[in-house]
Amino acid sequence: MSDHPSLRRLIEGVELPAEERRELLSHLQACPGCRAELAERDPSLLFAILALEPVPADVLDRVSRSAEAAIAREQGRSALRRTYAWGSLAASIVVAGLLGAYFWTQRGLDAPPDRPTVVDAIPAPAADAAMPAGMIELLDSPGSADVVEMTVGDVEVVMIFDEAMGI
Amino acid sequence: MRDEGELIRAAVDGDTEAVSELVRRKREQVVRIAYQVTGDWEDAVDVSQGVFVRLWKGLGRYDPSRRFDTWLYRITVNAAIDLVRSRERGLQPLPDEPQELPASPGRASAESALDLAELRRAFARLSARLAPKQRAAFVLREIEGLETAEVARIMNVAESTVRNHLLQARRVLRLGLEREYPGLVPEGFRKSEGES
Repeated sequence: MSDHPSLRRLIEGVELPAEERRELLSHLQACPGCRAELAERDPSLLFAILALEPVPADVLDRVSRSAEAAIAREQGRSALRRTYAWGSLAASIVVAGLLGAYFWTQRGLDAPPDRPTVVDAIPAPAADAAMPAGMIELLDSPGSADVVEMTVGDVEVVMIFDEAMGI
Repeated sequence: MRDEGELIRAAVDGDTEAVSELVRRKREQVVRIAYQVTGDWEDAVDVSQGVFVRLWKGLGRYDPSRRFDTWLYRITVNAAIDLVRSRERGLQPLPDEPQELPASPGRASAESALDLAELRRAFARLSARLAPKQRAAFVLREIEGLETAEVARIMNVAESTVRNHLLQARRVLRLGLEREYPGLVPEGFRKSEGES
């Protein structure tokens, strides 16, 4: 009986090293006595011997060929998707640039009139200077400033004299 | 020869030789499990092709701290179960099994080597009565020889669920063997229905 290996670990479901398991199952296939021992626990365990069934060589070849071909097709599709993605991005940038340039130029044509530049402060007239004709002096002067309003012809002129500010 | 980790890294980096080598190393395991679950070599080849494409697409997300084979088996079992289920929905009919029982060799089988082809026919017929997940659990545990914990990880279920699948599967297969393939069951052994 020493030629008959122990079936304990197989029955208990211990994961055996591949080679050891293959030897055990090969023995089971050949030894009716050991099969009977195994079946005593559970006849369905006999199906473990199916692990010895070889995979036909042509099946293995077909798996390799079909898998590699399918992966190569996926690699091609991935490359095409990447090219498409970069192309779309580049096109979007160009379109955005063109639109931006268009609206920028349009903005230039409709630009509001230039803002008036700051007019140099008018120096205060000398204290003894005569008031020009048509001048109307405003009595309400803000702070230290003197505000003078006058009409010359059709033009209204307002002058502000502020010694503190030098105007 | 590159180790598996190196091979996977190279495959992730787009090394087509590494991809081919990975397919060559794993194809037997994949097609065998696919065959055990679907019961048909053609289906097994189709399943295997899909498995390797999914594997390649998912390599970038593979976590090297986890066992590679667990992930591979999971993809394989799920793909095989999906195929079996699609057949059961009537999209692809199961191949017709001959109704006559094999000639019972009686005591002869108790004294001779077991015919693998006969065993295969018995399994194909009887396991077709199992739910796909029961069949998958039985294949992984009893035919592929994986531990219950590993089967649970592959099938992404609790160990108790695996044990339940196995209990159901063994009961159906045992009863079927006794009734329809008595020649395969060694002489002198017969368990009555209802015993565990």
